[in-house]
Amino acid sequence: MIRGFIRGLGELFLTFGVAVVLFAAYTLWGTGQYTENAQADLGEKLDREWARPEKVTTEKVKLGDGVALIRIPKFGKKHRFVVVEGVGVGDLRKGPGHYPDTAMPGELGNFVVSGHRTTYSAPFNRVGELRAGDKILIDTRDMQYVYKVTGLKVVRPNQVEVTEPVPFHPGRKPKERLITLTTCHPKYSAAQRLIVFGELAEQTPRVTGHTAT
Amino acid sequence: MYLWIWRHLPVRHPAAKAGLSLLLVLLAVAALWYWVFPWLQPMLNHQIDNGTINEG
Repeated sequence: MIRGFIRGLGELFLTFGVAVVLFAAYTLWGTGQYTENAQADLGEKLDREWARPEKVTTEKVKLGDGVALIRIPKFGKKHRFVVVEGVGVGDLRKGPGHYPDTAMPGELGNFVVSGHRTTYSAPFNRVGELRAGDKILIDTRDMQYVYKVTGLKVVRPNQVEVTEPVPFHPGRKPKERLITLTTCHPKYSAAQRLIVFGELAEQTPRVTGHTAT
Repeated sequence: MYLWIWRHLPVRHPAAKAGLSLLLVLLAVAALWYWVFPWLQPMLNHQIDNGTINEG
């Protein structure tokens, strides 16, 4: 009786251990599936919106919807994500997220985007390899913006000044059109943040008929 | 627990028993992977990978 109980308990613990290992594997490799599905949906939605003939205002994008496309050519042709509006846990599971209170692509100020370094398709997995001059492409309905990296910095998770219109100078009026990417650092940790700074180098009007997918 | 399940499998042949147990294990893994983990993961992820900057 007692022996059976102890054996049962042992089996339970072993089972739990195996489940924990499986969960770790899921976190690393399984979560990307969720992001891929979400990205496919967002891409289709963006396509439909962009294909609409009359101009719809893009001033206020609903939280969780797509705002733009981000591509970093250095990471290959397949590196292409729909940027969602919002940086909540749920938003970042779907893809890189735009801080709602920061500038929109191409605007004066700072277009700030946060993304996962690992897990959930890891859109910003390799941003640590970016160097000054590397291109970050942002596509919106009407324009293509080419930003060029100006520098990288590792900061503490609470250093919100990197998201200011002029990074590190809260309250100062922006004169430049900047982009800032934030992601976790080091990989598999949330101890610090890796920040990539960039500035607008070129902008080209988009020919209609471009697709998001 | 596992011994009890093994004894109560509704087949007799050892090979059939092995096959059925394998199926049960796979079902359990699939239930965790596609159903339990996706629900659990967003509540636990913040210390593994969090890229946002905030005051907190």
